[in-house]
Amino acid sequence: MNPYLSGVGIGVVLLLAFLIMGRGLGASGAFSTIVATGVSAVAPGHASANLPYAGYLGDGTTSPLKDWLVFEIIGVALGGFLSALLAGRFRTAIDRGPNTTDRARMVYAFGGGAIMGIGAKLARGCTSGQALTGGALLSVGSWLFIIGAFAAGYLAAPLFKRQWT
Amino acid sequence: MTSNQIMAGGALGLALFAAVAGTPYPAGADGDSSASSVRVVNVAEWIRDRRAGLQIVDLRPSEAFDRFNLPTAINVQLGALGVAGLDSAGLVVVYDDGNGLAERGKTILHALGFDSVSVLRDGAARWVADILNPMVARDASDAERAEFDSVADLSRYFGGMPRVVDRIDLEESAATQLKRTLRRGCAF
Amino acid sequence: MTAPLYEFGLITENASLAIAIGLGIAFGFFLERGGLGNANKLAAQFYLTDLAVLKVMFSAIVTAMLGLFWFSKLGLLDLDRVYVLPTFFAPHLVGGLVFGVGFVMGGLCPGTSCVSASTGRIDGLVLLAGMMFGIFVFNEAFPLVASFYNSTPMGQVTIPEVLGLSHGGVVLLIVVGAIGSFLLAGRLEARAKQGGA
Repeated sequence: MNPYLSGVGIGVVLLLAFLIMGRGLGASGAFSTIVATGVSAVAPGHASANLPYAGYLGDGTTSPLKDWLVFEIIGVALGGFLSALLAGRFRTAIDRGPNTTDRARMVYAFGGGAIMGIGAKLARGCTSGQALTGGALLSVGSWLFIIGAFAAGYLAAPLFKRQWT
Repeated sequence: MTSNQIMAGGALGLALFAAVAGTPYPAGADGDSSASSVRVVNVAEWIRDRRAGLQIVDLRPSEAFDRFNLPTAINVQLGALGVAGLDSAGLVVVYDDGNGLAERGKTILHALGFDSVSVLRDGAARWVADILNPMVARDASDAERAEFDSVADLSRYFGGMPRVVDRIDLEESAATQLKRTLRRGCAF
Repeated sequence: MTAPLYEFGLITENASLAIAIGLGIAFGFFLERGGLGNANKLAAQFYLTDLAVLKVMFSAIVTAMLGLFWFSKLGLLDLDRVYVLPTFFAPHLVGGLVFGVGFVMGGLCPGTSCVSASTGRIDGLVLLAGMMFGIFVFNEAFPLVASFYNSTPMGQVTIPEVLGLSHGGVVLLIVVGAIGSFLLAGRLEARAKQGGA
């Protein structure tokens, strides 16, 4: 599909989120909830006593996983799956550049993910929550995030050239 | 036209209209200060009647303010609106020299939580003209004469000089009119 | 009846969760359609060979931004009830920089990694695991970063406010900027195709 059309489609979905729920979309927040739930299951005292976890655990009356963002990303996974299935693009594989190995890819995927997790926590959001949602709302912090992310991506690209090209 | 061009054109069109509209809030939204802009005559009446909660904010540079300002107005720059100590429960009337500052000030105040903000239509120059120098032609209609009479008292209250003239001189620029008014020494 | 419907008591909690799934499905669907479930395509953004990320992201932002403006202007949406994320200048900027490094390193972002994982890509799954690990590390180290995390708060400020421009004016600037960047993207991609093919 034409990327612009896909973008407009996402924009409409984002707009609907604003119109129906008064909020935008997100992703990293859902994973914060999942992490908090996991830690709480293993070490409940530790989780409830520490601010970054406690904030995602709620008051204990319902499961913290009964959270809007968690349900949303379940939808995201489903939607992606459906689209790939319909287009015959579902494939168990490892996406990587032609000049690297599967193993290296895994290491970089894990590492990149970890770094993004830290960045997203600092910025209180990721490309879905800050860039798309905050961007549409013209929030200053969100646009700072967008500029920072793109700038850093381009500046750091030479470091990972072997990974992708 | 390709679909990309149609999308781009549509977005650009909507954006141009948005820029013209300025604020995303509907015109004349809510509250008793429902007009997003007000006429000088109304503001003059509010000042004269000492309307509670009325705050007049002059957004122009301090030199302009010192030269001439509306009675009871305070001089606040756009960037200082948040810390000017304005009361959000009252009605704020912002004005400028007709160069768009007032619209911006209104937007900022709305974002700061002020519900009742109005822009003085046509800026400070309109006050100088309509309140301080109201004129009516000798051969004006009854309706025009009546309107002039109702403004005349208001004008005199503020030290203006209502006049009946042979012919309304539309050539006089706002700057000239202001100079003439200030020479009289009675504009606050 | 005005939007947001939820803020006016028109949607129950359970209905809101169902809506979350629905919106998520549409989001994920369009992401995959745009090809953003593939790490190679996403990373290519930073090597200027395929700028789909730019095209998708900014057309989405522009669409929603215009929608917000006009629905509000036409009285169909109460903009004051839409939650604007508060700005913390330094954490937002630094968080963005850090995120950008991780993005070009991993080739996927949180949302697209869900799509990647659900379309069979194992690297997407691994990236999600890494991200959760990163969140865990951040949370454990929180006392060390707490003061930075909460520094330079600016409140719920928007670009029109800080630049002293009208909301509509900023909308126009962004649309013009986006279209300009799209034209540039087309040129860069054509050049990459000539050079590589």
